[in-house]
Amino acid sequence: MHRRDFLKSSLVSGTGLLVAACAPQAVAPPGVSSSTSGAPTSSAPTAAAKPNGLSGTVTYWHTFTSQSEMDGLDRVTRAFNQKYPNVTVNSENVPNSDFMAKFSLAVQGGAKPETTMISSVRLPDMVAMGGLMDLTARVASWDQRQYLPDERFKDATLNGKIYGVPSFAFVNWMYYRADWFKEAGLAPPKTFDDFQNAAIKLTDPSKNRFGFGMRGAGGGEGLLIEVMRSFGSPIVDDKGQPAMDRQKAIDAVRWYSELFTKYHAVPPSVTNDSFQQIMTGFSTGQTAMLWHHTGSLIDVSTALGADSGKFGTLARPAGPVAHIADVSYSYNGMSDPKNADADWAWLDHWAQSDTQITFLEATGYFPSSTKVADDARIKNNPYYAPAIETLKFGGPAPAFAGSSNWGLTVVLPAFQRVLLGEIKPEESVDLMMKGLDKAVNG
Amino acid sequence: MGSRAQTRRFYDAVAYVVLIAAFFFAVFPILWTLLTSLKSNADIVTTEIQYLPLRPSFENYATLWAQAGFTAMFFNSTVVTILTVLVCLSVGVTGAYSLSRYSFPARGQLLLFYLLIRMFPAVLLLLPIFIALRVLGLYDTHIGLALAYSTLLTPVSIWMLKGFFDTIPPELEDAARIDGCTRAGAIVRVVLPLARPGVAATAVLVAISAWNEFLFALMLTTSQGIRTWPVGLQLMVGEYQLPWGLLTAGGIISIVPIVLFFALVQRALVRGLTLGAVKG
Repeated sequence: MHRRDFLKSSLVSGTGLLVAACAPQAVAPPGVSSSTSGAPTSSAPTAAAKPNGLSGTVTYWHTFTSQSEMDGLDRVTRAFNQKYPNVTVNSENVPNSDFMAKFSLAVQGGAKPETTMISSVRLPDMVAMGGLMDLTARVASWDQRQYLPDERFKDATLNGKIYGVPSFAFVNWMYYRADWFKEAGLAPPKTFDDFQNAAIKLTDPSKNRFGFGMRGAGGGEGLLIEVMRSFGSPIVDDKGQPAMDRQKAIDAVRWYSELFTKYHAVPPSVTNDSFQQIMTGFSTGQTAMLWHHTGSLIDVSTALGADSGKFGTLARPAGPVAHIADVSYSYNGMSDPKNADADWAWLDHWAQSDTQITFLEATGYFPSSTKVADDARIKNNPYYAPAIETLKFGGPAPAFAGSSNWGLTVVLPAFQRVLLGEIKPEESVDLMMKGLDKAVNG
Repeated sequence: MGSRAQTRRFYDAVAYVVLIAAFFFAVFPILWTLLTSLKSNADIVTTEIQYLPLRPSFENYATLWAQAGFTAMFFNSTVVTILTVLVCLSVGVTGAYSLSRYSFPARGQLLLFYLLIRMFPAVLLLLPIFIALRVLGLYDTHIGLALAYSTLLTPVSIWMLKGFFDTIPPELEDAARIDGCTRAGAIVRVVLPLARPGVAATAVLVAISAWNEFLFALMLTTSQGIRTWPVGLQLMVGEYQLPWGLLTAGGIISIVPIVLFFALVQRALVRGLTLGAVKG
């Protein structure tokens, strides 16, 4: 073969590949269902469709990864299949950290899923890129609407349009070592003073035992913000403008940090302690109290024994000014409904009380429907009572454009510096207020 | 004299200490992963570090293997890796050979262009590859994923193989052609046997990269039946749960095929790595 022949043959084969690549082909794109209902339908008001009238497939993207979450999803899907035997749900799990990358790619590449899980912080971006469908009309005539108060749609509403249906909630509460409290003759804390007192009394460095597993690393900023609000300092006002009360915020930072700096009731590794560390500390008997949400109930139950009497759950203690606990909802929405009625049936299924309790039992993720509060499976389970109580006073965390970044890059480092003794609470609050102003007003 | 010998011994001792420290630094994470994979959950999360498993068992391996989809994921990774190696080597060998043997306009620029592709973060190439695979009907298929990997790995293969082809004297091919070989025959009978170490080294590099790749595997697949092993492992990491035992077992399992492959091509590979070094 001569050089010219070699190059010529390469050119011919390359051109052939290019032509093949550009040629239109009848290819089913990903996420497209084999539905029998034909073209996409509009979001006309409808209640859940009749089971026997639906067929085809529903694609669903979610960020469930753990064993318990997958088990919960499996149970929910099986229940759906019993109700809608002719509809197949194709679930795809996407790691939480990669979800937006994959979703953006699917939107740009024209391969959106039919239905998807929606985290409230991601919803504005998903709407902005044209990735979510307006569900306002469907929700308005929905029979489950009565069990979902307006505030539960707040994070899924943008410019008056609803883009998601609440499927479950993360209710912030606390876990405590019931056996240690009993030994020490302490009552479960109801106020911040009770909490501080218990944390100090249950600390015994000789036993490597500390009163409170404080989250001083990633994620700890949200807990500090809750404490500041409990002391009466808001973060932003109704118009989204900075509204921190300097003195109250200083009091909050001082009270919270002194659990470590003054009373040493927190493990010395506090500034490196994120979720895994505080969970391990509580599960292995190093800490007496833990602040997290209902989503870790299964983990704690598995580690300490559900009926062992070793642990209990409580609503967060009330602060000096307000009783605060964040409640955030996870939503389901439609992205590219090829089989709209079946897709809506899947969303409706998630909002049913039976489904939500099934999922709760598998994962600890709390139902979003108010209807479940009267269900015997909830009422008769003492672990869930604090979550029901929290739903009465808890609400969404203060949010504004850039709030998560402000929390992570300003609030947390400033608080860590207080814990490390580098700055005083006053200076840390000044840093937070300055950073807040910059985050909100640029 | 004695002093010089003592100094030498001292430096030898220091060298050994450094080498042993470096060895442990390199091996300890793998050893720790192996030991953790043999522990029960109760022995993994403890108040005091438990170095050796109290009750060593293969329970984590059995549990992981029994989980739905993991055998399929292992199979998928194997298929995609083999396809990627085949594509990269077939394109790489012909491309590298032409760049090594022929002189044509913009040859240098073409080589630089191959490097340019590697300079882009992989995530930037995702969208065009995604659209191309959809149009071709190759999205969510083994061959589609292998072609996507080849986009990134073929330039590396070409650069590596060209270096090896450059070291083989063209006169050997000329001699073969005088004896009646065609150009293609000379490549197959003369060049490739001599370049075998280079081909093996390239194959190992491509195989390791394809086996461990995560981003493309996640983004360009959607059904459980096509997903690869690294994606499966990543999906085990929950936001609120971390099954260390299963994860470490998965990590050890993922090392095994690469170690086996390396063992198979080791002799050729070592020759390839030292080929340039021993040239007089």
